[in-house]
Formats: sequence, structure tokens, C-alpha cells
Amino acid sequence: MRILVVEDYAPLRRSLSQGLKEAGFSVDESGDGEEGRWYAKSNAYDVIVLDLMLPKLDGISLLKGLRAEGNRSHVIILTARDGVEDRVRGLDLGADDYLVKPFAFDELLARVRALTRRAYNAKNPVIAIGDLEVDTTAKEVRRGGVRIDLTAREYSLLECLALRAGALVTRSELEEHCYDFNADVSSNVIDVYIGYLRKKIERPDKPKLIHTRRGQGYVLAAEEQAAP
Amino acid sequence: MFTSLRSRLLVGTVAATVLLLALTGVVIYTLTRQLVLAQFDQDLGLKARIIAFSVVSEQGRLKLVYNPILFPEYERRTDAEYYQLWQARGGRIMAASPSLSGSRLDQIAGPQSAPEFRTVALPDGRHGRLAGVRFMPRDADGGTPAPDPEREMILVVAKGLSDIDRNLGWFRWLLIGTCGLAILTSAGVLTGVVNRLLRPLALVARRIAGLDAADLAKPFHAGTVPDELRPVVDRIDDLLRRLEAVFAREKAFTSDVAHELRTPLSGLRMTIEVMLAKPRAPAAYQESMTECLGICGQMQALIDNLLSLARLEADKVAVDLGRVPIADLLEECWRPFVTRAHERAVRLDWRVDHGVVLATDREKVRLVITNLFDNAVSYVDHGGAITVTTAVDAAGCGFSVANSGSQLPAEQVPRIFDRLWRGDRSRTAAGLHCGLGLSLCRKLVDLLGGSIQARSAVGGIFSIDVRFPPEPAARRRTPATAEGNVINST
Repeated sequence: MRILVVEDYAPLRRSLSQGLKEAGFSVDESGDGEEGRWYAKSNAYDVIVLDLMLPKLDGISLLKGLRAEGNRSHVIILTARDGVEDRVRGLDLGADDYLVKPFAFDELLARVRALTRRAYNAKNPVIAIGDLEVDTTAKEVRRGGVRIDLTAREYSLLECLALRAGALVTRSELEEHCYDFNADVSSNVIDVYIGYLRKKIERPDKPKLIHTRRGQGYVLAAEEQAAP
Repeated sequence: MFTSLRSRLLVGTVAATVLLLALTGVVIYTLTRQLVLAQFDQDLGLKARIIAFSVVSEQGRLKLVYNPILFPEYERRTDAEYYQLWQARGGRIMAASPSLSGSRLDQIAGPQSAPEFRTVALPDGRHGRLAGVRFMPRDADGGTPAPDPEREMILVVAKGLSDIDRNLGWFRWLLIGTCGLAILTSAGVLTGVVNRLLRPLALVARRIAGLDAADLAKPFHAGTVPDELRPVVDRIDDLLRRLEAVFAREKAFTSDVAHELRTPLSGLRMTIEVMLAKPRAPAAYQESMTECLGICGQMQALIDNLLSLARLEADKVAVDLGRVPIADLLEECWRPFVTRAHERAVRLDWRVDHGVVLATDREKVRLVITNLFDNAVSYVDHGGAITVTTAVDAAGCGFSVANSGSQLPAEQVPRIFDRLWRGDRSRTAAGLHCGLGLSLCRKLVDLLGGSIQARSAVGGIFSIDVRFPPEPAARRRTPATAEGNVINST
């Protein structure tokens, strides 16, 4: 899941990004409104964590601009003002949630997870594909009740497929959502990680879950559907 | 004892009424008694003359010729009246009323022209009055006797005062009753009047007692008040209006301060929470602790500046005026910024005149200069220039600090002295800047009677001019100038 953090206060921005990365998200960060807008327009983020008081372009104008352009990323507003009118204004302008500073990191994380689930219409934090269970809250994966250890990148890739279970996810979509902007995405890194995932998830005695659509992408499903 | 205005007024007015009525009563009673006694004495004197007229000398013998039926009071024993007749010379008793029955009256008599009176105890023990006359008995043939001390007589008549005493007693009680009733009535009326007069005061007091911070917006307006209370009510209204303005300003400021403290606080919290989320290498903890320390410094600076500002606004700061050679102070203040300026490759254009001397408070001007240098070094562009100038012009003497690389739009220049206002809204660029430095500068310069102005010129040159009223005698020490002395800080 890919997240953009737009916050001008460096200590907060750095900690937020580090915490979110350690929680398994791909994070891009920006310290001003104009740069933040450029990031938001250049990539499809699942969630944008947006401070309201920003240099160059304030958060409200940034949000207004994004919504006017049809950007559908979920936005959590961070604000140091706790007045009702400030929150109402942010929500009215198209924000999905807000947090008043100072807030607990766990709360931010829970809200970010809730918004990523909403992004894929998944209300249940545990996604089941056949006997495979992906717990998006605990970041844990089980098959047939047996826990499978995955690296952060492997989990991120699997979660991305699981949230859109049964649908085709293209390589470029996987690249966008699973790797932060600054990371080097070599041409076959997705295929390599899909290989790792298959080794850990697939069982010889059980149905295949990760299906390849040659030249297009991958589908995570209990049974392979006919190619369109 | 009497703490309320009402009881004091009531006790005072009622006591005055009682005293006045009592005095009036005593005066009326005394006058009436004197009038009644005078009338009594006149009657008694007349009676003495009538009895004396009844004493007739006939051929050397004295005779008392009156009809006892007309004067039964001299015959009876109870409620009787008395008379007694003496020869003036020798004092022989010539006659006495039967009612005396052997008792005697005091012998008193003035000159022949007027009777003499005296109050005594009568032979029957009653309280009474005597009237004594000295006279010549008339002759039986009706001739007027010639004055002759040998034949002069003294007649004393006596009458009890019991009737008068009884009537005066009644009159006294009537007076006391009337006065008592008048006192009670006046007390009632006064209570009503005092209550009515004090009603506006009570209303004002109730309104004041019921005031709280939420009522400040409403005018005090205690109904129709008497002229004497109008200045009080007007002052309270004025006070409430000013209080409301202060409350509103403080509320806005508190909200701003909370806002300013929340951002570093959330940075602190986030840094610590993320660090504690899992075990890390010592270097990571060290880095994070350093970050936290920086945030603490920032919060401390904010609080220190807030306190300085609060003290300045409460006028609790004393001004210590002295002669301040401004060039020396500018150089002294610049030293701590040399390293930062060097790091940013700043070119320093030092145009100071060593002759300019200000009559001001050295330490406060030092604070102003330090704040301006800090701003300039924080906001100057990398490789840009900072210009420091001393000036003696129409606006007074002082100095200017300018830096290049400013991105402040001209329309925002007037706002830079507002509390907690930050030009670019960026906390990161300025590090310790919390939007109070320039407010503090303005307050300090105001306190010192000077002026501070900001200018934003084309090419990103932002400058602040500080001027103090000229001190004619000590304005310049020497005519020498050091203009154009460019120091490259790198």
C-alpha cells in the first residue's frame, strides 16, 4: 500500500514516514504543498496524510485542487486546530478523516489501514482467498491455519493482490502500490517477488492461488478463471 | 455594627427624628406649663386682691367683709383654699380662713404694687402655691387710706396645684403618645423612602454580583439609574467592554499558543513512539534523542519568548537608559552568527558608522538586534547577502538589517509583527523560529520610544529599519563614516 506524507515539520514528517514504512507501507514524503501536489498527481496513492498548514500551498488548497482534478486517493488531514469548524471544513472539501495533533501513532496506523480497506471495498480486515487468510491489521498470513512468515515486501505484494482478490492486477499497479517512489524498481523485481511468494504460499496438495496472466499481470484467486 | 447602608440611613434618620420630637415635646410642655402657672398666679393674685379689698378698717378696728357663701373654698376641709392676714409691723395674726383650722401659712409679700408668689406644701400636705400682698386696709367710709407703715397689712392666699398637676400630667402623656406615634410613623415612612432610594443601588449590586465572563459582551445597563450612580454604571460598562476585548484577545492568543505547541509536541510524541515500536541499534536511539532535544529547545524558545512578550505587554519591564554606541553593539551581536552565516556562504555588507550613539537601553536593543540577525541568517538564500547599516535620518538614528532571498509577498509585510505569524508557514527552514521574535522586537522598540518598520524590495531584499528619537547632543561622536566597508564572511 502506498502512502504520501505531506508535513512541513521535519521531525514529525521523518517519524511518520519511518513508522509507516516499518508498518509495511510504501511511503513518499514531502515538506511543502507544491511538492506534495506534484507527488499526488504523479502517483496513485492509497492514502495521503496531509498537514493543513504548509508552506507554498496550504493543505486545504492542495486537497481542493486534487479533488477538482478527480484524484480519488483517501486523505487524512492532520491539524493542530481542534475547532469543529476546521474539521468540518476539511471533511467538506473531500478529506476522508482527520487527526488532531498530537496524536498516537497507533491511531494514525489504524485509520490508514481502515482507509486502505475502504479503497478496495474490503470491510473485513481479514481477507480470505480459499484457505488463505491475509490479516491486514496484524500483517499476518495463514494457509490452512498455518502461519506463513513473509518479508515486508512479500507481504506488501500479497496484500495488494488480496485486496483485489479475483481481479487482474497489472505489474505497473503492483509497482506503484508496493514500492516507494525512491526505490529502484528493476524490470523483473515483481516477477522475482511473485516467485518468492509462490514458494511460501503454494502447496503441492492444494489448489494454486497465484495465477499469471502472461504479459498483463497476476490474479489472486481460489480457482483460476478463464482468461478474458 | 451597622454594616449596611440601609440600616445606617434608617438608624440615623430615625434617631434624628426621635431627638427632634423629644426636644419639641419638652419645649411645648415647658412653655405650656409656664403659661398655665402664669394664669394660675394671675388668678391667685386677683383673689388675694379681692380678699385684701374685703379688709375694712372701721374706727381703728379691722373687719373682714365678704360673703362666705361666695367663697366656700375657705370654709371646707377637703380641697380647701387658705388665707391668713398679718399686721405688717409686729407680725400679729389678724385673721385666717376657717379651712386653716390652726395651721399657719408662710408669710410672704413683695412691695405694694405686685403680689409675690411661692410654691409650697400646703397645711393638708398638698402641693400648692402662695400669693402674698402688702396693702393698706380701706376705710369703712370708702376713703383711700394714706400710706402708714403702722397700719400696713400682709395677706397670703394659698391654693392647691392638684388640678393643674393633673391636667399637665394628661397633657404630658398626650405629648408622649403623639411623639411616639409620630416616631413610629416616620420610621415606617423613612424605611419606605430609604428602600426606594436604595433600589437602584441594590439593582447595580445584584448585576455586578451576577456578572461572569460570558456576560461581558452584553452592556451592563442596570435600568434607569439616579444621576449619582450614572458615573459608576458608565465606568463599569467601559470596564466590561475593555475586559471583553482583553478576554477575546487572550482567548485567540491561547488558541494560537496551543496550536504552536501542538506541532512540536506531536513531533516529539511521534519520534518517541516510532522509536519504541521495536528494538533498534544504539545509533538510531542517539539520532532520535538528538531530534527530541532539538524539539525541546524549540518549545523552550517559544515559551521563553511568550513570557518575555507577556512581561512587556504587562509593562513590567524597567528601562535602563544609557549611551549606546550602536556600531560596537552590532559587532558584538553578530559574533554568534558568524558560523551559521559561513555555512550558508553569506556575504556580509557591513555599513556601520562608529559615530552613531543612541540614548537607549543597551540590553533591550541587544535583544532586538539578535532577533533581527537570527531572522536574516535563517531566511537569507544560500550564497546571498546580509546588509547591516547604521542610519541618521529624518526618522531618527538607528540601524537597518537586510537580507536577500526573501520570498515574502509585499502584501504580507504589515503582518510580520503579529504574534505567532510566520512568513512562509514553514517551521523546518527556520528551526527555532516560532513567529514571536518580531513581535518581541516591536514591543521592545515601542517600549524604548522608537519605531520599527519592515520593507520588502524587488529582488527579494527584505529589510527592517529600527529608529530611535535623535539625541541632539550625543548623536554623533565623530564625523567619520565607514560606509561601504564590505566584509565577506566566507
